[in-house]
Amino acid sequence: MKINEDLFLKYNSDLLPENEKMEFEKLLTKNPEIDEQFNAFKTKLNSIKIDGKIDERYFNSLLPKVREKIDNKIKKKTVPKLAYALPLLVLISYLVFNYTNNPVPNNISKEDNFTELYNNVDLTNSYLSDLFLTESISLTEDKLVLNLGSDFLKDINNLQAPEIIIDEGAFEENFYNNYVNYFPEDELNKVYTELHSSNNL
Amino acid sequence: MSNEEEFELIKEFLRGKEKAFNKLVQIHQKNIYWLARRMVGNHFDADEITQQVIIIMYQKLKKFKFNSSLSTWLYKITRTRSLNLIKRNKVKNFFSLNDSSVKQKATEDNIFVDLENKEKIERVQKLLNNLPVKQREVFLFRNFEELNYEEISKITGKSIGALKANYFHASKKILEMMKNEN
Repeated sequence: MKINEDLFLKYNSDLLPENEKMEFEKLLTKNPEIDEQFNAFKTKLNSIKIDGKIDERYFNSLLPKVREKIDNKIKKKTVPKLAYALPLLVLISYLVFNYTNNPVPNNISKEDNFTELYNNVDLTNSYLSDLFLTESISLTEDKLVLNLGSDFLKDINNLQAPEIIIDEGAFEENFYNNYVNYFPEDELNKVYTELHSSNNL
Repeated sequence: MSNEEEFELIKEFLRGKEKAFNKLVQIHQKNIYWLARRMVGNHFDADEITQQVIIIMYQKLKKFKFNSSLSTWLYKITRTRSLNLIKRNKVKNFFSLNDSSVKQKATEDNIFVDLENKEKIERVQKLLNNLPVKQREVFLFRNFEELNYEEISKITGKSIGALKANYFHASKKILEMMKNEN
């Protein structure tokens, strides 16, 4: 009696319904020929299952290779973190250093502003020289006082931190009050005359 | 080794004992390699997958839930990695981006213990390669790893009915191919 191989396959795959499965198992116990056929089928299917052997040195070298890769991965993860942290640290240090050396003034009056500004102005500074050369006037300290024009005011405003705003009207008033009183009257007259003559007034 | 003993090794590793991890690798590396090898069909790719799985094991073992055995967890990772690599290779072959077969063959020849063994492995691999991936994986888990359908279902995420059908077709094809060989 020859059994269809599909029945063996179905039984082996556990695809038979419960009643058919029991019937098949009964058949196997009752009929040794079918049992033999089924065993031959199983042996054939299992013959594919060979115990593959490859060089043990491969498995021995596996762990060190993987360990190396794991270490590299850890290093790679750490470097990008530092790549972000380092510039950030430099930036913070720069800002802190910059702030401690040049604190932004909070409570400075407009008069104080100018006094401080004026005291800090370096007349030999090329920037100022350039600025005043545009006015085509040779400079001395006295002349500077009288010729500080609106351009200079704008530039001073630009040079300062945004908090310090110099009101042009107030500046001129304070400026004249402070410095007209500061210079002797005869010097002022002298300068005025010189200016008058240079402008052909 | 029992599940409890393995769980103890995992806990030791999580407590910082690197030697416990080495031991776990030594226990499972062959199973991982052979599953990958039979899935992808060559040593070169199987080696890559095995290394990847061990690295994942090192990094993700802290997320391991002690509900299933470690081997089930590792089979799951190996299967996913193998399927991804098969897909990737299909795309590569389609566009013929690189021909690394010569290099792979040279690597493969160096790892066999003897010629007879090499021929046997190559013959089986040829049969397995002719199976569709869905059928191949269930055939491997059932015939080579001797897992039951419940375990295979946990690994693959497929229904038991679908696994049974795939196993039926895989076995049928293998037998037919063996008859044709003779």
